[in-house]
Amino acid sequence: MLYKVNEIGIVVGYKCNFNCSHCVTSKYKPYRLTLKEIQLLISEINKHNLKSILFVGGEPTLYIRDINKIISKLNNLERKKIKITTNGHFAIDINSTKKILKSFLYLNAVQLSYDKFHSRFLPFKNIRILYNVCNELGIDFSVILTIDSPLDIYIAKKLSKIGKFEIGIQKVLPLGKAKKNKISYLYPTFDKNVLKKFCPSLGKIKYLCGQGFSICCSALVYNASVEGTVHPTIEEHLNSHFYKMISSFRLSEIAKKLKVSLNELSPQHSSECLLCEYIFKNNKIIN
Amino acid sequence: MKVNDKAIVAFLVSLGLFSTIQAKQYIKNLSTKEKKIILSVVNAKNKQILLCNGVTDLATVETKKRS
Repeated sequence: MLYKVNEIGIVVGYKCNFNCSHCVTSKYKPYRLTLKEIQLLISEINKHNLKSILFVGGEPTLYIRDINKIISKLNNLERKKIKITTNGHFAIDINSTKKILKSFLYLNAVQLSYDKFHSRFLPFKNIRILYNVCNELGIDFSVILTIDSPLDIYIAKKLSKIGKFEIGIQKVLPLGKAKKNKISYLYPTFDKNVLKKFCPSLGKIKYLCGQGFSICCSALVYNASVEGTVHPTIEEHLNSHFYKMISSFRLSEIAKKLKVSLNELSPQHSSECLLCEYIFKNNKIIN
Repeated sequence: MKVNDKAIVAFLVSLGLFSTIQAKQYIKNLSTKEKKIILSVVNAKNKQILLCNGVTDLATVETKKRS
């Protein structure tokens, strides 16, 4: 089954003013969107009528000018959801928070990335400021809480005292700096149910600045850099052997097709992304 | 298994953090203090907590709501 792609996540650049030990980016890459890439993104988003656009980084608020160049040229903007995932560095006081959020030409939602790693850089009181300003401006507010242990869930309880907003739990994967620092969500045993799962990103696509489009926003593009997983246009990606395989088959079926033995899986392969990396990393996907 | 342990297992599974087998294995190694930490969140009946879709930086909170 081929999934309709509705959401795009755009890595606008890798610059960040925090230095978190669990970041998926291993080192600063000098890429930022070129004018050619900005024009390509506008054209692709309009062509595929993508409904939801999420700007990530690095820290997306360091690239507002580039983001606005994209937003300003989108068709049916009022029917789209424009979101950012931010570290919240600007939420020092009400005025600077308003100034940053209002500098986006259009913005529906702010996802704050907050966890024990970010707490080194972002005072807790700043979250309240960001939440209140978002409420005032009519912008949806939520928090992505990344955990490397279920015990970290206590942060959600602390966050919920600020106000009523959604808190999404995400597990740390050993990618980039997290891998280097040996930070990862640990599973006690291997969960064989993962074999029946599909890629969790179906319906979404990512654009990595300086690289291209891919359904993968995880281990395959960050760790393994498997050939044939990133393409210059959405259409080329959707027609690729890789995409057709990932969107049509369960992980166990893909392993079978690629003749990858699943006899030596570790507890960490309970994560769909790490199992997917295991399956693909030794295979060349030629289109 | 004690009632509190069952509550923790159910909570961890409902959040998608572990499968039932994994959660049962996990709590075996938890101290009383650690169990209390998780139970405090369980008891808060926090309906705001959702599971993201497992991916990295494209995580969105609207992908998979807790039942």
